[in-house]
Amino acid sequence: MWKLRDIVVAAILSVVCGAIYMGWDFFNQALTAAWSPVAQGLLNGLWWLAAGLVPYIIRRPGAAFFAEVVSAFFEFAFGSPYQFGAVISGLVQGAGSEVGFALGRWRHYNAGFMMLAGALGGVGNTLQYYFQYGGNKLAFGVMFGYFVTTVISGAILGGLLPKWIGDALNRTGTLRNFEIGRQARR
Amino acid sequence: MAQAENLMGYIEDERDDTHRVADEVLLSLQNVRIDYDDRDRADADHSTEDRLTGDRPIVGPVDLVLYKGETVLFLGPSGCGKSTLAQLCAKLIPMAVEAKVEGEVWRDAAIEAPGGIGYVFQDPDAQFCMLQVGDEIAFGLENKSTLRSHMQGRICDALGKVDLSVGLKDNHALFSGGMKQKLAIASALAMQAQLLVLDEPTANLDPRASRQVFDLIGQFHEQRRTMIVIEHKFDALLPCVDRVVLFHADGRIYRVGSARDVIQEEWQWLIQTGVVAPWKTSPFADVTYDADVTHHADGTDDADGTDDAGNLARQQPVLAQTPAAYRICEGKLAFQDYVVWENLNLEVPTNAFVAIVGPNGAGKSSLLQVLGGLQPLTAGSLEVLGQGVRAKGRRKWRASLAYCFQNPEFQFIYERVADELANRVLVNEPTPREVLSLLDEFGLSGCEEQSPFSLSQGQKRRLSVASMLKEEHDIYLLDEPTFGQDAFTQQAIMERLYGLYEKGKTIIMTTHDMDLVQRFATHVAVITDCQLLFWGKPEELFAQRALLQRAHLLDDVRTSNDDLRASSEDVLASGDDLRANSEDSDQGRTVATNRGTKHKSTPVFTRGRRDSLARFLNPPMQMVTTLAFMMIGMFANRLSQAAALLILSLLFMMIVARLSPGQILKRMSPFLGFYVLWIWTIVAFGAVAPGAPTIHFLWMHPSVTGLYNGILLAVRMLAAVGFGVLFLSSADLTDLIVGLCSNFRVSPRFSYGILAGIRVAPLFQSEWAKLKQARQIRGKDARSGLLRPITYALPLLTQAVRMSERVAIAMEARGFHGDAAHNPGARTFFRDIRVRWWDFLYAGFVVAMSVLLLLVF
Repeated sequence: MWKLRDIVVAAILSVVCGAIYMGWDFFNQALTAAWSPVAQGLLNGLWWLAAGLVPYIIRRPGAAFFAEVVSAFFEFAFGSPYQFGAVISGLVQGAGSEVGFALGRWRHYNAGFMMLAGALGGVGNTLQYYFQYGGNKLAFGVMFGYFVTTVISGAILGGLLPKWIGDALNRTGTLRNFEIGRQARR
Repeated sequence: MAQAENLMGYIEDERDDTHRVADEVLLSLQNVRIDYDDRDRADADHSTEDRLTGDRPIVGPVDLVLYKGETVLFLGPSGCGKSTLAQLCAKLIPMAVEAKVEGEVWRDAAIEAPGGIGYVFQDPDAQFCMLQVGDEIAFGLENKSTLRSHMQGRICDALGKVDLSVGLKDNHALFSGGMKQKLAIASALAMQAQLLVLDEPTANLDPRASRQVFDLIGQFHEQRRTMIVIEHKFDALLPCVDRVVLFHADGRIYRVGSARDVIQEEWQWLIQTGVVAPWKTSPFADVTYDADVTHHADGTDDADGTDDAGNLARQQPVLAQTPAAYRICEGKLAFQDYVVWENLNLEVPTNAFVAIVGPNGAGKSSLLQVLGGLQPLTAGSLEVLGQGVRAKGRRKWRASLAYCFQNPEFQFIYERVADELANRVLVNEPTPREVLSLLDEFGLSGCEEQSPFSLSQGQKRRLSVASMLKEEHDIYLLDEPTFGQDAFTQQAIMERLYGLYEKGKTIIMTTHDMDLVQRFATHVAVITDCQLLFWGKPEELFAQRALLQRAHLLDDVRTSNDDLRASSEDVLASGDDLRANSEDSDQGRTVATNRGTKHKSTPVFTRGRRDSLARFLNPPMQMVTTLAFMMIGMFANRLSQAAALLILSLLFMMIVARLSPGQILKRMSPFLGFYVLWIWTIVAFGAVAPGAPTIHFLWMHPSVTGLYNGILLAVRMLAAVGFGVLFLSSADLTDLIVGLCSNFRVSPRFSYGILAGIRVAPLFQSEWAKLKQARQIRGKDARSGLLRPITYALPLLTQAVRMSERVAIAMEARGFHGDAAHNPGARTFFRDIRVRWWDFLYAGFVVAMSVLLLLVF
């Protein structure tokens, strides 16, 4: 059951992630313009950081989807070059990660499930890339490579990284009143 | 009633006979104990309190009766549970803050109703959840499902009661702390609260703003509103307090009685328990000071004050010692057009104990930052220890000084307290002896393994001071070192600083506490109205009542009727403060928020044009339309189709948003460069038909087909950008959220929760800047700018989490629970957001046109 503080903290973290995404949009593009999409995929996972971080902290059904959509909306609002496409990204990536947590019936948030959720977020990302961002105009091998690297990146940057951040945050004691803190004490 | 009378037996004092209140019980607590589910947990809302752990409950057993129309002051040492008890009285415990409550709590029906109890929190920033004044006050009314037609009147009425003359559409994030607290009180009054709980409402305010809040409390006392007040600076408040409740450190009530008796008889007890600092004099013992205030205040006026000030600035005391610790010549600090202060001439001798005082946002912290080398002067020269800044070199300069930030968390770099004091990570080695002795000296023994962030607020401050004192420096700069600390901590810190002063060091600190100035400072600098108004000995300053008044250093508000002017002076933000001017020009506001940070200023949704037709569109509907357009756009597989869609969106931008081609180009320009890079990826890696010509260049194989596809994609995305810009340029964020809730039945908890979260986000910008400075001064800034986000994340995120918890509690305190929070149908809406026929027309037209274009081209 969501508490009001879960929602507010999810919103704040999502706004922060939205700002990170927006910076990542430009930085990533400038950095990887000459890379093959296969290599580009390796950096994708950061774009669904919120979909890992927020559910890891508040541990509620729907947290991944909610956080990813809200953060993507703010990515758009802050002026992302992907414009409204960012919101669509949020929808598909969030849905992907949410499936991962749903498979654990929203009870398991260990490294394995974090990686699974992050990887499934990558599946969502790939779908959008294929239809909207020119994936279907790429050679098949390149496209498949993109899929593989994106899923790996999702597991790491969208799964393990948020777990690491969440654990560090939990050690500070600020998350006592959230599910992550409660479960850690049990 | 009978029960309540029985309870009187538990209370030590009989009630004062001179009491004028009707004997109607509003609230009674009998044998109440409050305990948290898990003992290691500190009070979420009350970070200032050092929790005691043990077998005893956090609060209780407590017996207390609250009568209608009386003002009760809760006093006690840090961590005694007075806030916890106040939250229980206000029903926040166990509703918003989980805790186990035993015993009997009885509340009158008048305060049992939604909105019956108003709660004003200590942190002015963490109790609002909307963006504008009107929406903010209306939030509580919405929770009570007050009819929209009644709202406007109730809002204006409430603003009038607290003497706050602001527009309903003003952004309250830019208000000063005092105005924010008044707004919080107004929000409670609008809900017709029968009981007001003020939980350290002035903790973040300067003396003048505090006094304005106290004045309001005085007025309410006259009107016989029932109030529970928790306040450390209670001297000025005593005349309007009926009863005082003293708490033991362990959460039991020590004594209840009339204000005068309790304070007079228990003054020593208050000192012993650390409630008041030992250098304070009992307000009843010292009458001469008060008389003095009125005497001087009557005889002078502001114009005189100005002249005096001018003279004084010129007649600086001649200070012969050389070299001076600091010498500033014609110093000026400005951010773009906004001048913080100018013509500042200052010579701080070595071995001085300097206090910098002045109203909130006058530039005290900025001056300290200049002295610490964190902020360069805009004009003028600065010498440190007899050498020009250039000559000395920044690194060496920083080595000669120590800097202590107002928020101790900014200084923490390591994950363990011991590492923090050792200034390196201690791996598998015993804690060094000097670290242990520091821990002991600052009452932190046993905490060495903890995370610095998990300490209580008082411990954090002691840790930051301890780590600052570890290495020897010539100059110590401290930004409000005693802020928010209990008397014990204050004393420990001040004694250490005084010890350093006696060893010949130079101490410079900003403060609001005039008692500290009087007691410790050898020199005092007053910063007000963009200038150094006074520099000299504290005795000379205290002799000048007019000057004190002008610098908001007197807590006397004789001039409360010129409140308007006062509050506009009040504000004037310093760049890192977000407390900015209220009623002045719009220009002032933007300057205030933008200064000091390179980040984009908040809101996103404010670049709209007034005459845009899109303003009349329902924001969520418009968002859905944008989404639909983008989805349809994905089917554009020929350049001609994409170009047609782009032209459609450009037309819409010109017609609906009334943007000129120039403006459109300006708004689209950031995207153009991005899409060039984007095109390249498709050009270089695009699929090509067998036999089509490609070039091989490094690992890339650009082709003509790829180029075509790339351009196609870029145009397709630009078309979508058009509708995105159209949406952002016209939609108001609050309208969007309220529309989602009222038109699209999104749960109020989620929609309003998002809005509350967003409101807190701008604070990040200023926090980020401060954090960067704090790291620089410790010489531990991330070597590469790229790593900064990672190393800065922890303090920022902990701050954000704490803030969001407080905001959530504040929202529930205003009746945002139960049906009002779960069911959009159970609440009313201040903003009248509707889906009208033209919204459907617009959506239908956009969809039809884009589909048509795809089919035709």
